[in-house]
Amino acid sequence: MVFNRSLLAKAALGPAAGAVLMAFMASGAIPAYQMYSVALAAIYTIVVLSVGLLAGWSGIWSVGHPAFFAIGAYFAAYGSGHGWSLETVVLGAVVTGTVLGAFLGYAGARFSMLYIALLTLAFTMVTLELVNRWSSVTGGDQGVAVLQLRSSLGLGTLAGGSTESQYLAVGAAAVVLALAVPAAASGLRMRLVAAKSHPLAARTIGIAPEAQSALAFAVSAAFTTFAGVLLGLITGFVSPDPFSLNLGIALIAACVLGGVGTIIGAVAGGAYLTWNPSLSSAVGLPQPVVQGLVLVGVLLFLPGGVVPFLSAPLRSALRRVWRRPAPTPAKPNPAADLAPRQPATATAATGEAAVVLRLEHVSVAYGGLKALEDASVSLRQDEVLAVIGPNGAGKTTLLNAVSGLTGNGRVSGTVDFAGGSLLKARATARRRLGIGRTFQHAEVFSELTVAENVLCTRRWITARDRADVARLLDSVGLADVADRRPGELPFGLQKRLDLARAMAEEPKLLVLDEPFGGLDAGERALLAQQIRRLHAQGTAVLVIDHVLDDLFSVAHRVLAFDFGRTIGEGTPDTVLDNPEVRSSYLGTVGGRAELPERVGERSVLRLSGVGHTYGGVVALRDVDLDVREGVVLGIAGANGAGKSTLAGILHGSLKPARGSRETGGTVRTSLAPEGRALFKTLSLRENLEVAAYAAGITGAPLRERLAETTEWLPPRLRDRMSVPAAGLSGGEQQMLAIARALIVKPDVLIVDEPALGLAPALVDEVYDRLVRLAHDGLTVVLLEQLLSRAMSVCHEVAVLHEGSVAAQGRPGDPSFAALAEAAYFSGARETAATTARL
Amino acid sequence: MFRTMRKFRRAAGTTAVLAVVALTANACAEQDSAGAGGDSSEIHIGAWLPTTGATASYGVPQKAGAEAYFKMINASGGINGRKVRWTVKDNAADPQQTVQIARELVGQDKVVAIVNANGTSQAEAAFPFVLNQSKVPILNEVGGNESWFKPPRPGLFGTQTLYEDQAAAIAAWTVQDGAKKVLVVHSDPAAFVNVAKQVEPVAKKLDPSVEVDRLTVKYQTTDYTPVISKVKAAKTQAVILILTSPEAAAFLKEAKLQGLSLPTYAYAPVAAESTVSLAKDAAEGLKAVQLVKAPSDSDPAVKEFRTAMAKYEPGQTAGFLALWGWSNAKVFAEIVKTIKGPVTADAIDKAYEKATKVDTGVSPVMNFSPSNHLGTRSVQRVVVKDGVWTSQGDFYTPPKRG
Amino acid sequence: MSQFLLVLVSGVASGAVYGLIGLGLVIIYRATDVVNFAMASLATLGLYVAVSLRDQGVATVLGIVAAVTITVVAGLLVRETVIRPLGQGQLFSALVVTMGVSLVVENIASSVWGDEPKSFPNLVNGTVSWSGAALPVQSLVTIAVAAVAMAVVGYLFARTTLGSAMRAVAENAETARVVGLGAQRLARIAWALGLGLAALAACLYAPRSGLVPTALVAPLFRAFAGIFLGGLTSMYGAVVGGLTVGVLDNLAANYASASLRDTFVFSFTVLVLLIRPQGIFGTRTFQRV
Repeated sequence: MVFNRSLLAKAALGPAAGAVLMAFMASGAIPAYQMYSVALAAIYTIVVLSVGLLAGWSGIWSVGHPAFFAIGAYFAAYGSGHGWSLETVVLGAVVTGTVLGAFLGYAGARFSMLYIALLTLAFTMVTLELVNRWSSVTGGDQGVAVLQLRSSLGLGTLAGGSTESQYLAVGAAAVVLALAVPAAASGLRMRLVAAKSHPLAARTIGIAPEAQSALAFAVSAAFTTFAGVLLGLITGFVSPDPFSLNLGIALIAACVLGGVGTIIGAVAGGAYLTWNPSLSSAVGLPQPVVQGLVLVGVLLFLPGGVVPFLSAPLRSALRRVWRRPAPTPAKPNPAADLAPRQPATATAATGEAAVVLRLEHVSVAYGGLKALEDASVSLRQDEVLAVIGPNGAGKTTLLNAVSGLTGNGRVSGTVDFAGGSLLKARATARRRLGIGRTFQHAEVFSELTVAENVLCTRRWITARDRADVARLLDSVGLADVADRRPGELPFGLQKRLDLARAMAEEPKLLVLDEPFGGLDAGERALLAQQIRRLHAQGTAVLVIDHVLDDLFSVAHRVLAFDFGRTIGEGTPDTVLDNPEVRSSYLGTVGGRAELPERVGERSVLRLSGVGHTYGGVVALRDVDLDVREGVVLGIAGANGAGKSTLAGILHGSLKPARGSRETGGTVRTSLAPEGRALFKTLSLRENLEVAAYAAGITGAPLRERLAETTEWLPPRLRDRMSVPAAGLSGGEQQMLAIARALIVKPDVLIVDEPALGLAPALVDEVYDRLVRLAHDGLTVVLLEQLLSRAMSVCHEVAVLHEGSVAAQGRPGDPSFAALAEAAYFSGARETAATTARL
Repeated sequence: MFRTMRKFRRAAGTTAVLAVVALTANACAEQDSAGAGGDSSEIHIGAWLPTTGATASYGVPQKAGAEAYFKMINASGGINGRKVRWTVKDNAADPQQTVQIARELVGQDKVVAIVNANGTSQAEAAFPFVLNQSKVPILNEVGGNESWFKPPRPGLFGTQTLYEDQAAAIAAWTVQDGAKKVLVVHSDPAAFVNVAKQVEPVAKKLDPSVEVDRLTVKYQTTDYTPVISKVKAAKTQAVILILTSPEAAAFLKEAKLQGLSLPTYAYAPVAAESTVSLAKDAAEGLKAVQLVKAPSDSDPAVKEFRTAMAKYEPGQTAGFLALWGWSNAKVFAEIVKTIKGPVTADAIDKAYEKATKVDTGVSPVMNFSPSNHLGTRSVQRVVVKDGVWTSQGDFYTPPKRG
Repeated sequence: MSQFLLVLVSGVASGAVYGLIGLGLVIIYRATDVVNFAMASLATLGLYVAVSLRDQGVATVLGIVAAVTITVVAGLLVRETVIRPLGQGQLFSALVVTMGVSLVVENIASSVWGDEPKSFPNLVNGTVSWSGAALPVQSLVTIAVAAVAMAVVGYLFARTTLGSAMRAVAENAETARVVGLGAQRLARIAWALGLGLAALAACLYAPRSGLVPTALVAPLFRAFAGIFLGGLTSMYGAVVGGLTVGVLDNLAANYASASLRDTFVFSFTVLVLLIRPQGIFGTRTFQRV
């Protein structure tokens, strides 16, 4: 780690405060009767710091620390009774704490927060029981005295309960605080926080969450046992009473009060623990009541804790004084040493470079579901390979197999990378081998700053690392926001950060998961440049996306996937000529469905100027839509075009950020959401009942509706009404999802991607039924990924592209077909060019 | 609307936190500025008592009893014209808090003695500062063990018959009642184990043919069904309970339920009103030893206690624990009465060492000396009769142990 | 043999109480993501009311009804005033707030009713003899009442539309919202149900332990061990876990070492969890990108 001047100054604050405090103690400015309390506060500060930083940095809430505290205290007592030196006692206690803490941390990494709480609770209860039982060593509930500990280094003798012990406690706390400051700026903290805030993303940069939590817990436990030794010394007597679960709760209260994960907060927490009794008698309430009120009050009113609450305004005021106004995100600044920008074709693969990645017959299965089937891919070092395919085709699974994030899926086949087998390497090891990866939703570490997000890829951070990272951030245009948290940045910048993190340490292979998704045109152009530059520097790139224009502008070769298999391969210019590839996007639907002739004129649902964003990502912009009575309205768009958002807004369950939704009179809408969204543990009947119940239908009417709706279901489902929905096939689930939407007798039925993941025969059955519903007079809005399907079963089709309606018309209209297809791939603007290329 | 609400909440929160901070500061300041100490017209003493937390059920009545006594003598002019000021602070049974409190009482409040405090390990945590460093005596503490008084420590005086001697008294009682096979049922913490171990040697000393067994039960067990079944299987003639009051009540109830009826004896913590109120008629006939007379006695000294409690602590039960507090307060007052001149820590210490035949009327007559800092070894035998603890005979001194 | 039978029946009776409390915890946790630490102290409040009524001469059964009612009302009050303002999904904050509430409620109980232990009446007295063992009827009644309560809860969740709706919310809150289920109403019902079960469990437990403000802390911890053992989200798990802990606890105390029973129970729980981190009946979640 690197000490810069401000860090040194901050680190010196602890010892300085300690020295001042000791001077006060020595001069008598602190009354003698408060000396013990001051020392106790110093010790509690160490413990609160241990618990708080463990929670703040690793997300582990431990109620096991009273046990570590006790272990330290009993070490002091036993040591004093058996002539151990001070150093032996401290060493013994700290080593014991470290080993037990590492075990708890390692075991705890497998568990969620609540289970860790139980694990540590169990640790405390077992330790306390042993302390009580093992009375030959601990004195049981009678306690045992700490008489004195002699230093073997000749530093003198400390008597239990003596003034010297109090000085030692204050001094030790000062040193611990001084250590905590640089630790907070170190790679250690960054890696802990990274592992905590996104374990999966952390693995891709080589951080193993288990190792981190074991390390964090070990350090935290070591400091707490040390504090325990000090407690034994200042009190001169150790008994089990103070190390109860109440202390565990009080420690959590102290952490929460001061501010979890803040160093000054720990001091506040330590002081609170020490003087809570005085505070309670001052306000005239029993101690537990004060503690309870503090817990409830702080979490309700100041969830961040007192110290962050008080320091935030201070810091922002300081920032205003010292810094220039917040800069606007800058354009990337490709450094001079980087290759000049060239068109992709100019740096095209020569076909001579070595194959860096080779997948052969790779399959990934989750339970019975094959997410990837027999995929074979090879990638040369000088190549940018694009993988395309509709939603659910297995693209992300392919990337996960390369980066080792297949979770509990079964992976078979072989993956060779840079001459070695990759499948045996753990996800965390693949970073070292030279694989970097980005995520579709920019999975950045929200609790680290931008610079720290990249720095945490290093274990020990040197000045050179900082300079490297600064240069890297500059090259992607994040230099001005290096000290901000990702959450404060727009989505585009978060994706740049995700990329920068993957680029750090110059990997041989970059794996990019939908890098263009959610970006605007300008951002996309910048990203394309960036990818070309990476290629020019010799990085192999594997990229998947739905935004085909930009993808094809950077790729040398394109691989098309569907149903977990490769269905085509070619250059960007030729791959879409393959009919199978083309139909996987557009569909191959033969005849037009027989729709009811007449469509009413009355508008039942109307959207005007509707826009929606999710955390800075624009999902919909300025959509006008008119749903007329009896119509079958198709809304077609590629993955990520905004269909599901639109479905939610039409349904009324999602409030649009802008614009308005009007209904013609009382209109009941019902939604069959994307992916079916059935309650899988509920039976078929219960799924239907629950929907009716939600609409306020109970008793006899409910039974009547249930009977009607059951009639609507295909016979093979009718016979299985009490089977859990999880047992149904995809097509059957879709039927049930539609039935569930129908049970409330809607005026408008909205169906979101009913064909997703279904075999063709089943798709036809589902659509048949939807058309029949239209014949019965139901108004249907159909959201569909396949344009041709939408064209074949709808009265009207609106094409959604990047959140806007790019084309709208009637499938019968001959000029509309070409227009719609162009709009589907390229939006409304570039229609002509794309049409030409297709 | 929503936003203003949030703003309001934040403002409220800020106020609350500032208030807390201010209070803390205030509390600290108060402690700093006060501490001028009492004048000669009053005797300022202090105590730590658990008025909250796990042992609050002891601390609260113990405080009430002593409070009632001090209020009563203050109303009648105090001790030799000096009013008693007894400052009690809650230690929640926590040794660390006890040390803090001890330092406040001694350093800030300048008390001349700690009187009628509660807790063994709590007091031991405070010994180094209070006894050794500050030379302030700790008197009449509820709790303690043999090591406190052997050898005698300067400034440490006790009024409570040791639990070990209570065990000896019970052992003698069972032997006297003719039991040949005795089972001691006790909790598992060391404080119970050490006491339970004292039964056998004394019983054997009195009658070598007596068989004594021990049965350990986990502290705070509430399910005594299996325990009773084991007791039955042991075919014993008498049972001695070294348990807490609720545990003893659970034992008695379960014994009655399972039709086990044996002479049952217990030590002082069981001889509490709560045992009877929890076990109801199952407690009938239970024998126990006590540090004081039964609060129901018609003895005038006990009557005085009941009257004072009704007058000064009307919300509190005039039970055994309150009587402990009362008795401790009275022993202190009786001894301090003998001091001519200023009541200092040193003077109190000396007065205790000279005090003999201190008779409170509610507890055994106490005798102290430079070599004996524990005032008594005697107990009162009590029995539950018609749902009320009733004294049986006079104070009884058990045979020497070991 | 008769000793073993006694130990077993006692263990099952304790386990039934832990199971009921655990069931309440799980119902509330599934519906609202809140691990309700305050459940024990709220139920204690109900018990004190029941005891006060008994002292006024009201029948025990009515007292139990009052205990359940008071616990439910107090619990809903707590939820509306301090849990709901935290917002959804605040697992840690909600847990810690309920810890705070529990401290305050315990102290309210101790300042109103004092710290002296109070007795709570048995529902029935007497024993039945069975293969040489005198089994307390109260234990058998405890087992029976708990079984009936569990069966009723099972029926509610498995056979009624309301139960289906509650399971639906527990499985997927977002879908439940899309379908239009009133999450708040269902959450309130879950809290009421969970607290009601805890109060009932408390009424079965209290005759044995007597009543102090912290009387239910020990069974609450046992219930926690039980639900973690069974899997936090599984109602069967809560019952099975509670029973396992109860029986194991008693067996350990009687046949291994009385003083190390916590060590046995918690070591067993932790060992099981190390092998199966999601608990016996819990479901494993896998994060996908």
